[in-house]
Amino acid sequence: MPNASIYFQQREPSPLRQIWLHMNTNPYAVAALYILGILMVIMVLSPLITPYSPDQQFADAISHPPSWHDEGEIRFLFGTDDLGRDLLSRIIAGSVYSLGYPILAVAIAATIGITIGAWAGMSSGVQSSTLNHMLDVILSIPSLLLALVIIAILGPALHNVMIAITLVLIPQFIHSVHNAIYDERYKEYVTASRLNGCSRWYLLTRVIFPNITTVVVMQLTLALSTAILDIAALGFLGLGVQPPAPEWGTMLARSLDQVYLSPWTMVLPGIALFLTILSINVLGDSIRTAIQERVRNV
Amino acid sequence: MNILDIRNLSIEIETSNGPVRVIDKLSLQLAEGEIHTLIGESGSGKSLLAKAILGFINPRWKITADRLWWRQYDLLALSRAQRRQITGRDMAMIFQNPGTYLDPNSTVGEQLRESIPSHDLPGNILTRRKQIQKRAEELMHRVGIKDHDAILESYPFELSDGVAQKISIAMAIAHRPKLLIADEPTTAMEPNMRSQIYRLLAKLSAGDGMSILMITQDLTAVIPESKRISLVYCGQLMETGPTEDVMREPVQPYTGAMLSTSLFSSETKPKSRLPTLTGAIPTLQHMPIGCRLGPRCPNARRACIEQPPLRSYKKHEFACHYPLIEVDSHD
Amino acid sequence: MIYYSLRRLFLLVITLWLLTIFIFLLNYLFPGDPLTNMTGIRAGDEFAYNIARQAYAFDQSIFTQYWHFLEHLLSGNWGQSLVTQRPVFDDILPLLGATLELSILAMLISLVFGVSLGLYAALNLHRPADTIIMGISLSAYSVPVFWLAQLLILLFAVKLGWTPISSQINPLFDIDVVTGSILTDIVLSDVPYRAAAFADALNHLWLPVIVLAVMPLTMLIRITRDAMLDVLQKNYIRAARARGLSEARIMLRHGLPNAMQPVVRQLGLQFSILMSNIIIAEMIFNWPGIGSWLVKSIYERDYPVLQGGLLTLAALILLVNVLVELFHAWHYPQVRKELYAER
Repeated sequence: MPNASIYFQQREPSPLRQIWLHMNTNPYAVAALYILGILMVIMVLSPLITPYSPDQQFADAISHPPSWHDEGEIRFLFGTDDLGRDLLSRIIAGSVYSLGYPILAVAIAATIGITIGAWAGMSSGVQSSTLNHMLDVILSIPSLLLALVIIAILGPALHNVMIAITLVLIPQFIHSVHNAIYDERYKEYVTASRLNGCSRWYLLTRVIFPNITTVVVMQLTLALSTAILDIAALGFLGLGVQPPAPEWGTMLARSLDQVYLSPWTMVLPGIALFLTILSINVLGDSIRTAIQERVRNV
Repeated sequence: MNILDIRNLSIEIETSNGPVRVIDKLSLQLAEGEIHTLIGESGSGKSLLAKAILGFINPRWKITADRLWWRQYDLLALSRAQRRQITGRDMAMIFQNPGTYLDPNSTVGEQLRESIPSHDLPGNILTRRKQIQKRAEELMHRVGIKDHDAILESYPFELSDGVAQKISIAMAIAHRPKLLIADEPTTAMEPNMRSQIYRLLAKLSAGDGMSILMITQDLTAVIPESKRISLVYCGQLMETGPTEDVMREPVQPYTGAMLSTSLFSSETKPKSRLPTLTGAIPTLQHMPIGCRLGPRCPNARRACIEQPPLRSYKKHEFACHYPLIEVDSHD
Repeated sequence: MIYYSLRRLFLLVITLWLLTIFIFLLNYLFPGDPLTNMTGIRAGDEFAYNIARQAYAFDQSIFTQYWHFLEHLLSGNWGQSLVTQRPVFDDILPLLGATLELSILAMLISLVFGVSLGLYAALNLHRPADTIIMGISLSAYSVPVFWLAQLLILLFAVKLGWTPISSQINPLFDIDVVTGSILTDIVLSDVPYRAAAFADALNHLWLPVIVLAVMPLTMLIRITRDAMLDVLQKNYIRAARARGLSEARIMLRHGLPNAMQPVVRQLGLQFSILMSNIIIAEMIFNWPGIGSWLVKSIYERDYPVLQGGLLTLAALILLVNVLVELFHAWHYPQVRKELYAER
């Protein structure tokens, strides 16, 4: 067998792609991805697909149970609330507040936070461990508490909630990106590229960043579920999105008095919120296990 | 008298490309009190063999053998519990990165003391404690650690690799095993510590009549006390025999290559190229059929796609169709 | 190690100091008069207002103002509520007691059940028990605390009628508030109906505690399971097996202590999450704690109360986090190695 080609080259997929492949083998993650996708589509199309206007009140149908109930009507698939508003329309329209705005807040916070975090991670002046520990300690204060304080300053309103949530999320992004870059930047492969004469920009974008994408993606899912929860919680406390806007948390707060009479006004928006958060958490969780798996395999 | 007798041991694991035999019809005999060196490059299955002897093989992997005997016990026929009892009583193992084999959250003393079997010590619990402590100190002396008080109180991460390996040895010999498997015990160590560890192992073997299966990567690590060596390539036994005979008169091309790659081999002339095997070790998914050395072997011919049987020449045994030395095939 | 502890405590002091600066600045950020926000004395009450102006040095530079603010803060003079006119500091202690009672009980429950369920799942890896525990924990983790509270109220209070849904105790029981922790107060009081009151308080208590315990519980299950799986793969566990130690001994002496290390490290974070949830849960269950007090103060624009609540909650969380970290470093020797290496 002279010189037969016995070499077999196995191409290693990129970290992000490996995680994608790993997630594809996990049926729950795939399901979560689909649910989240459907929710997004519903959110984008919400002005078109709501059967009624979310604020329209049907005086003849106050606190109607959902259609599968004996007294329910197919006209109101999910029933109506105590003001006779169609619950299905409100839940669909609410996805803009409870999913769309959090996505927006996370996008803004991520852009700002990752930029600052990358800058802090690459510059050697901000490496002091004291500062890092301090940031650790400060970040242990829950985001909801900080958001509450910001709302107390600005007053409860939709745009103030957005400002509060964005401000609260930024430090988390800074911290995670800074730490990830800090962990990578003295590894041998980075040193090797540095010795090759790569510029700092090249080092950051081409050498280090592909290796921390997984951290960033995980932080994104984490921030998204935090944002959704916090916006809903503020709405629930009456300090966030103001009624009559059909935000899910606000709807839950309203249903607090109605639990005895019309439990569906509490259960249905809650399920919507739960499904959204669950699918994001399942995604984040499968990304996390995929990262662990990858680290273990190396 | 062989205390360990392995004939035609095979281990098959499932990979994404179907089953692969990582160990292919390997045979090994170990006499009481003997030091036997097992040589193989990475991926040759030598560590897996050690695990198979100890009984720590993933239960989903298929393990077959004509014979896997420890003294009079057939290890494959025993239950898990019986197997563990034998392993715990008669065998011990030390490893390549000794630091990772010590629990980081308890002191060296605690771990050493718990390795000392207490049931055969006389007296009640209180007097036993003292005896165990005394035995721990004695073990420390035996492995050549003088300041036992300080070391016993320290945590594993405070130790250097060499000291950690000595402690591993102390823990391994605490229950006076009959067989010690040393899996590349000195690979990551500086030469001075390396020879210390080897001398220690040889001394322990001579003193206690303990057999040692030494696993290493290359021939330079074969110590003079090792009476026999075996060379393994990709899970197949290449050559085995008394150390001196094999070194002087290698029969298998692999042994020849290994000998000539060692830098101080007498055969290398100045300015000549070091003879090496071409190519690289095949991956698990692409094991050659027949003799696995085939694609890299200078002597390989068509017949090598059949696995050669084990043949003997003088005192060695080897597996090759076209050996380096003319061997009468009916010998 | 002493050096490390001192450094951590020093950092805690610095952080608390930053917190006081932040709170001082809040007085200027909140709508309205900074001095009123700080002291709770309205400008209408001219006599008191002028005294406060003197006391807080509001006619001088902002640094002097901060210095005087800090002095008052440290001497326990946290201003008075704009709504009730009661001193904030005196109100806080019983509220803190009530909050601590809830949080400590919830934390204990989640620790006990979280760790044991997590271990159980790890030891039954990929068997049905593991899958079920992990599935439920991931789902329960995604339930927002306010919805969970509503669901449980609907189930236990409305449908089953097992438990009342608000406040600490039936107001018919006249228990003096001393610590704010209702169980402690009942034990301390010497009323004849102590046993009945204790039972009633427990009946009020269990639902909020469960609601609060769920989130840390689910996270602790996951952390414990992952940690245990990680430890089981470690070389020293294999080496212990090779030495012939019994399985029970390996688990108790080597598996469990090492698996608990990440759990301990996460406790501070879990406490933070619990505190975030307690704000909402106290509102729902009408629990007289710091959280509901804080939220109500935002409704009522009662800024001195808001500051007091914020300072207390934040300080409590920071303190718990630093204590957890110190415990972690003291208890796990190899953490020290990383700490030494850091310098």
